[in-house]
Amino acid sequence: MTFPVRDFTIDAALEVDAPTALVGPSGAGKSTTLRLIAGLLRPASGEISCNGRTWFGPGVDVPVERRRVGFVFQDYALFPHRNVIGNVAFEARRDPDEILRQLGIGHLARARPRDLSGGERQRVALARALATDPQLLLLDEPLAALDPGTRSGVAAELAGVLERTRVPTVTVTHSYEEATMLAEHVVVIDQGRVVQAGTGAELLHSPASRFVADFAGVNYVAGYADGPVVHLPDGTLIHVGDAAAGPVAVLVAPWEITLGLTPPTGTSAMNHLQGPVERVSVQGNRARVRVGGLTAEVTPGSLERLGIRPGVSVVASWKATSTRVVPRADGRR
Amino acid sequence: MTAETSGASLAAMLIFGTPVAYRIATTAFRGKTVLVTLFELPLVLPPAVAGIGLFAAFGRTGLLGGRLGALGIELPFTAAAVVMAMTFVAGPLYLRQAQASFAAVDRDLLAAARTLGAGPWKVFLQVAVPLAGPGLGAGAALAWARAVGEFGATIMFAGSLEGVTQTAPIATYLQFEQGDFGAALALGAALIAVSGVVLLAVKLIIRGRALRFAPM
Repeated sequence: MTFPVRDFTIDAALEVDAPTALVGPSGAGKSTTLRLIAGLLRPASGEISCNGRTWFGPGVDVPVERRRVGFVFQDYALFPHRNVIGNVAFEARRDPDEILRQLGIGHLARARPRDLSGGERQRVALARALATDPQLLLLDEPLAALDPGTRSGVAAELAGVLERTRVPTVTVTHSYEEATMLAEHVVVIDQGRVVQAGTGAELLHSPASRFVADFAGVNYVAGYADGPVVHLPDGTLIHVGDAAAGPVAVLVAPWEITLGLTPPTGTSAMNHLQGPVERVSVQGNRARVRVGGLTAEVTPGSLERLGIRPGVSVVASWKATSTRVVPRADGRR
Repeated sequence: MTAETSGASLAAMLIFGTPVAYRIATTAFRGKTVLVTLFELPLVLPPAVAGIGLFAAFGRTGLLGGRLGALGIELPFTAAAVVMAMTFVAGPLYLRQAQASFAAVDRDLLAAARTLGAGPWKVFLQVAVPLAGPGLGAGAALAWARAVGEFGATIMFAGSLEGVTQTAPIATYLQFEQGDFGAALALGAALIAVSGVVLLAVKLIIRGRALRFAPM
């Protein structure tokens, strides 16, 4: 289907036969795609069908209310003038009380939406969507409205609920972790186009572009392969495990890279890259250190022990066998 | 007399104005600006001009008046004419306020209702109207107050037949003109009291509802 937006036209072909995640940067057209599927926006052209029934096509445009999609909005869109059970019972085809109990929020039935926490609201929104017995469940950034502390817990619960309900789902997210938790099939969208689709592991293992690699959180270094070495534009050589030729990208996972203050001796690692630390960010028990265009992942303890902070010169090392080489479609650069 | 006609006028505004305002606020269509301007025109017209306009349209020799007359319907100088004059002049006040109230309702709430399977009327009656309620109430109160005070258009189009088309403001004016200042003052004071009480009541109701719906 196609749909023109401000700067580009969404032109996406999707097939949803497994829980699917639509991922990409802000403004990539993910949420718009979801609204097109639901019928809240009308495509300029194209076709949408579900379970063999055409929702949109030449001369066909089934109105939203007859498509039977469950839609969980980013800020949940709970009716403020109704209590929880009133929200869930609005057009319910299933017993609202039972659904609340299944989602573990039976005790909130009489509560007003404004008195709920973010995680509770999300579950009410999910309960309300499931109460209509939808043929397709669409979730627009279901975790974005939550604070980071509760997000991973709620994500795990949500993943469990989605697995139990067996309703086909399309989840929009901009996080690779969330995508892999909530879906089997991950579709990467940029500028309204599908850039790559596959399982989370496939995207991580062989990203089709720097964009997908960045998204999956794997280092992507463009260069020219000549047998077991890859020449980078700045003259650096990278030793790789698999011989190749021509324009390639070298992939290294951040956790394969070790950091030291001086070039290590007596190591099997063949690749060393020296440079000043550009950025350090700590998330839980992982610290990500940016050096020479690469991201290395170490423990916060190592950071402290080595005194690593922005500006300090470090050496990033990794083994040739930790690298993977994928061909580059974009040719040069 | 005034209570009945202004009540009928308010009912007409609510029944026809509310769905129209909702439609204008939530959908985009060609000629929307022109239509809105047309609806707002009576706001800027001197009421006497509005009365002349109504008379030109529905008077015995008017554009539609002749045809209505053939059907045995005569509007000028009847209670219906009073209601028409009031609605014509005060309606736009309600329409404007209602439109703004509907525009302020979160569009995702309306979208959510539709994805759940609610048809347009259910979305309108069970989501949009309750959420726009306080604003609709305020608009209705303003419009009603304006209808009660309506003078110019009424006297032009409906005249001043005692017991039929003589509204309180017109009676006040006539008493004053006939030199009975005391009666005019008493009528005026009664008008002020009734309007004040109604406005205050509406405000209190709106505040109660607004507190209940206050976001977080």
